Amino acid sequence: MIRVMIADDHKLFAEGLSRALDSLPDARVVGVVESGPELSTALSGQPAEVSIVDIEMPGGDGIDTISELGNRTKAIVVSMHASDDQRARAADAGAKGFFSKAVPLDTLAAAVRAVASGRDLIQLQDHERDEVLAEYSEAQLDPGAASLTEREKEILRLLAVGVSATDELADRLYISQKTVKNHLASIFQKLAVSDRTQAAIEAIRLGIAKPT
Amino acid sequence: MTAPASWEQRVHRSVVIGQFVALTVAIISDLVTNGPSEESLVAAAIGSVYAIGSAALPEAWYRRRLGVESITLAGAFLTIIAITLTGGASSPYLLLSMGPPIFATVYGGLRVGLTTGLLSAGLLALVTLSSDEPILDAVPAMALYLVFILLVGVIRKLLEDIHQQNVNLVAEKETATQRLEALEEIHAVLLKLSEDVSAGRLNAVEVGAETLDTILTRIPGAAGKLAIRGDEGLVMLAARGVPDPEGETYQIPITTADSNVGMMELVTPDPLPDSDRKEVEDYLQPLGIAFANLQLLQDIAGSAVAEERLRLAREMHDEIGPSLASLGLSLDLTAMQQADNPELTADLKVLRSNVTKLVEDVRAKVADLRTAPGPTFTARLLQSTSGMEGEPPIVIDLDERRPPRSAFIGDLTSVVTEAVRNSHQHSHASKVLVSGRIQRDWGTVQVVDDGVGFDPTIVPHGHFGLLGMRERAEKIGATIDFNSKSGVGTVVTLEWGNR
Repeated sequence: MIRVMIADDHKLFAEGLSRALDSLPDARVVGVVESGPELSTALSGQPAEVSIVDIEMPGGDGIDTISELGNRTKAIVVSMHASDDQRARAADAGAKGFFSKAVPLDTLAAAVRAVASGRDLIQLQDHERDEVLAEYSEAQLDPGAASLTEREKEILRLLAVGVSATDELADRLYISQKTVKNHLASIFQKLAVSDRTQAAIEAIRLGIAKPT
Repeated sequence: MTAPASWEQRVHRSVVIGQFVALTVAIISDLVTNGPSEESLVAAAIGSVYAIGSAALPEAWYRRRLGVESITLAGAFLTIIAITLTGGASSPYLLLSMGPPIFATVYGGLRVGLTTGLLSAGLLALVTLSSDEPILDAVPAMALYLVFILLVGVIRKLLEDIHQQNVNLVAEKETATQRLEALEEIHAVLLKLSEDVSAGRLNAVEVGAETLDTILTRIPGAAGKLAIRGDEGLVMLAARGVPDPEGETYQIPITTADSNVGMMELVTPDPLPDSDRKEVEDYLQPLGIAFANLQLLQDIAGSAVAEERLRLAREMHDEIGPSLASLGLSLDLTAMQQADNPELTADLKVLRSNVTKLVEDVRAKVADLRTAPGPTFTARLLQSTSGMEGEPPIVIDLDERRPPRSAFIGDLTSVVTEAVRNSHQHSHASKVLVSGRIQRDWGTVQVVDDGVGFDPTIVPHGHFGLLGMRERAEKIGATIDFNSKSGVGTVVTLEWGNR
């Protein structure tokens, strides 16, 4: 699971971006802040592998913040100022990616995955970058989520539509209540959750299940 | 030749009348004293001949040096004969003999007057001596000659001075009137400028061209250029006429009380008299004020526009752009979640691509708004055609209210410059005129020459630029039209946008 922090003073865009990235099965937005200094503070309390940073923000330039953050996070610049000059500045500051705000979600998602796994996109030519991004177009699920069995996914789908009582689950799946409990324990462990509601939410997020 | 002074005519009439009175008195007094003798009659006849003759001769004769000398010399002899015949120093004709010296003084001045007077006095002395009378008897008469001459001489001098002063006054009045007329004309120009300012029509190129035209019509054969001082040195506004290579070149600064706002270069066939130069400076003075005001206006308008551009850029960058980008992400998200509904996904993808275009458009506009506007089309054209010297002259007369967009202005300048170059090099015209109106997104520019012309369907030698001009015009969405007739001339018209 890739933890992502967003720093953008435009609320509507930050919210939209947060919602979009959160919808990815392999990424989770752990914080949305409105300035460079806030980003620095937020990262102290909540680590994030990747940060999406705007350039023009109150309280200072986003690129300066990236340079101050160093290795604490891998930064991707997403800005309205997508000029070559700014790209060069961002590269100097240590940013790993650089996109205009017109960037489509699948491109940004691939970029987040690529940067999180250590790739540097900012120095690449457009066609080279597209090749790299193509490698990361699919969600890379956690080992836990990836190891879910078909029966466990079936239980998660039922949880997501509100079937949560043990007896009901047992009746639907024609299995014993004991077996249901065993499956649930396995699911909780694999998804690192502690109850059925959290498991349902996680299942929806991972794209395994759909809400009603 | 100066017109006869009225005082000369008046004195002439007075002397003529005086002579007739003196003659009448002399004849009567002689007849009463000596009775009708042969001598008396002859003296009366001679006196009459002189009096009538001097009155009858045209005044113009007196005004000639030889004329006045002959008349007064003859007069002096005639009157002396009359005096000799009627008693010498005590003759009643003595008064009449004052006539010739007075005429001589009036018309010839003191020197001629004295000569005639001394001649009369000398003759009188001779007559007195020859008649064995004591010379002392003649002295009062001789003194009288001198007194009369001096009196008339002094009066003449006074009158002449007055006359001269009058002439000077008239000349001064004429100069003052001319100056006043010139000032009135300048005032009219100033008034028009002020009207233009209030109507928002003030345009440096227009005002400069108008002033240059006005100045050049007053100096035949002159050519001139007019430039305004901009942020990056002098910017040429207008050029008129073909400079005479052997003419005199004047560089006249255009100034206001505290700054130098431009320069005019004037080439005249002959050296310019100080008065004309002063006049040109007078003409340039309102222009200086206009330019200074214009610069001020432009500064104010410029900073207002710059502020507005920045505000717009900020708004687009801060609000519109990110909101659109956010909309795009939402569309992506929906498409992802509805992956099993291909119809909806296809619609969403079209929508998404439109949103992406919009965001990119906003980004480009923001970049455009954040760059300061460059020089006007007129300034660029003046610059690009400045190297084309010699015949035919290039006259640029454009009404550029707002410069074309920066994405457009470069190609526009290239196309028009090419048209001007073709006319300048190949047309053998008497002049090449660039005219038109430009209002940012629409405009029309014509390049006209009265040269040899060509057939636009057959690309003649040296006109290889036509295709390139057409392509360039198409690129910027303008239409270009070549209208040319052999021997009549060529009109190239470039148009863009809708008015």
